[in-house]
Amino acid sequence: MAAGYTGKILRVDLGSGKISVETPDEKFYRTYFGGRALIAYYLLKEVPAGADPLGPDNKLIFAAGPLTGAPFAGSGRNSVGARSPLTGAYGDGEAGGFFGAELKRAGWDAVIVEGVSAKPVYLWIKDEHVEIRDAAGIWGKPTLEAQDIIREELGDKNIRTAQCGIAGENLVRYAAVCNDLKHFAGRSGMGAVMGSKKLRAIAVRGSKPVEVADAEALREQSKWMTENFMELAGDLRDVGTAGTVMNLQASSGLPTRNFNEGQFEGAEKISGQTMRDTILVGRESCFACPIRCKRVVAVEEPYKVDPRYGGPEYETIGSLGSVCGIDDLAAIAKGNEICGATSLDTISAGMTVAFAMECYENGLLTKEDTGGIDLKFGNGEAMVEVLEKIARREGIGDLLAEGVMRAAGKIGRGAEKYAVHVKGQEVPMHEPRLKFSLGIGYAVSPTGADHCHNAHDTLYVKAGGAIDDLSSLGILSPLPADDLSGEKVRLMAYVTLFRHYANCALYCQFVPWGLSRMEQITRAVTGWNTSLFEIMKVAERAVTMTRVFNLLNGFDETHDRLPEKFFRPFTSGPLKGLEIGKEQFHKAKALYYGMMGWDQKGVPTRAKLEDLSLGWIQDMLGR
Amino acid sequence: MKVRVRVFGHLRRFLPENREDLVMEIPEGTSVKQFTASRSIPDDEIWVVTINGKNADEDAVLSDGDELCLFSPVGGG
Repeated sequence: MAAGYTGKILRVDLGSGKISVETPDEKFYRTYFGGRALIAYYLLKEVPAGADPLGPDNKLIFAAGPLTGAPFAGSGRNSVGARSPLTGAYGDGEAGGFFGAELKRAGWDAVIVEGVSAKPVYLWIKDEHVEIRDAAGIWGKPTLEAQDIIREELGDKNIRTAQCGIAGENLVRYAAVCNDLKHFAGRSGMGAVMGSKKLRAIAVRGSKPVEVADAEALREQSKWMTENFMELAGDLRDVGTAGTVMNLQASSGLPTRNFNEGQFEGAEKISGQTMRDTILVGRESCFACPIRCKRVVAVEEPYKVDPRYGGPEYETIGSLGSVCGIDDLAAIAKGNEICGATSLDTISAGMTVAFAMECYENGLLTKEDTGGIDLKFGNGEAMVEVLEKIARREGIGDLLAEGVMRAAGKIGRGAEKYAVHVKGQEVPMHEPRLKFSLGIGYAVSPTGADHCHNAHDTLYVKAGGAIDDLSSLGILSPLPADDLSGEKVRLMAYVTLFRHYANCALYCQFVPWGLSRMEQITRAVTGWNTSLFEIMKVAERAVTMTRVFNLLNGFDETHDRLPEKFFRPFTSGPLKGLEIGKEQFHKAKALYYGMMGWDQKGVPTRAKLEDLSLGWIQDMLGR
Repeated sequence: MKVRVRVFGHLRRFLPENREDLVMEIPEGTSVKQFTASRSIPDDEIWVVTINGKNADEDAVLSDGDELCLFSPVGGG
């Protein structure tokens, strides 16, 4: 009997209107779990190489995991994946909130959306009932209003929604998918894929609790978390993920002015502590979680910021703040609200604004290009104005909606050196010159630069804490943050793999379960006699399958690179003169390939494919 | 001597009254390491130390009027 997973996958063809149900067997779920590996499976099988990401052959897959919706903290997440319109590579994002849990409660593990609708629609899923509905009434509206209209129309204020927002409607290449207004499957432009299919939203309501194999064991785990989370979750409740700001500032890891510097003179003004002491009006949680790391902010002047859109996370404080040289917390909060209302990835949006600022400061963009906006570093008002334009592809927004890689290509004249991306995805708010193996992770990530399925070296520099947790994988010693030896690549590889597992299972990495308890929870929910070994193999599957998808879509080892800026050491501060050596970097990258079972060109070997039960992929690689 | 102590992250639980920012009276010649030991702060919870805005190691000796900042290790996600 299925436990954890529901055994049902919904397939919706928006072109023909056909709705069908698939019921893979238990072996399928135990092999691919959910989230990233499940998405990669269907994309490999069904999306032809070279398919236009914004065309009818791309498929948009909303995937929960076997653990989603089970009663333990951190189980409320789901992934959304497709071929990315931002990178052309494998794309996915993952969001918290409640939508994923509700989808499982409705009896579905995943929704595969294919084809293109002739007119704007939204999908309504209420348990087994599935309906494609006219979205004329919500198309063009902010996410908050659209959710209210959907709930009103369907007569249920407890409906959960996933939306693409007007940024997705306008095919902004880094449009996000927005869960429940405040949680975002942010990266890779999944909102644009959704908008290209004219699918404005999925509304879901589920009435059945998720089946778990051993409810008693799960209850014991939850009891443990209730007793320990205040101690273990650090200051996540107090100051949110924005608690990272001052720590990174002290160590020269706070991305500043398009990654030109690692320390920002305005850091204190935009810290988690300052947010808490000024504009914070509440703290919220996701499904089943006690921590309450989510911020709720309100501002009246000089910008009106609606608290129903939540508040900025660390990534947003960085991307709309320090990386743009902006120390105005109210402007950052407004920018966060605009991105929420239109469903834009704050990381890519902020980094694109920072790119435009650096171009402007160097004369590659003028006031004529910007429509009169003085787009200098530090201009919060300008950032707010430009975000609105990006969401609507108005004026300079149309150029910037393309992302830094394409925008730089269009501007030319050396603009490429200001475009800080990997594979076309803008770099998030973590500095490789502080966290050396994170830089390797940026280069090899299937989705382009990403900080979530990646290792943060600063966690592993001392014995105790995070290192203790890794001992169950055989990682026994701490290493300096700037170490890039074989031992560090091994640490990075194992940590990254476990984070890929989090993207398949699915669960929230901010909930401090630790590896051993996650293994126990996996057993308790699914009833499988699983092990860390099997779990790591699921993770390896996700990494290798997404690798193959990229190989088939024109990517090779030359795309696994870091922007030149990161090879130039800082000229001041605690990291002054500390250089990521290029030879050292390439050696580390080559070691990572080998550890993943890939050849020197980063192509999975036959042996690795068989080891992962992916023999069916051999033919796709022409072998 | 008086030293302003600011802590970030979860370290406030080691300071009097759970404060994150306070001026403390500590003996002349106290090093950073001695101070953190006196507050029972585990070594693995301290990642970066600054004195008057400049990075310092744990053997640095504090002076009257210094501002000492202690930071926990951070990850991301």
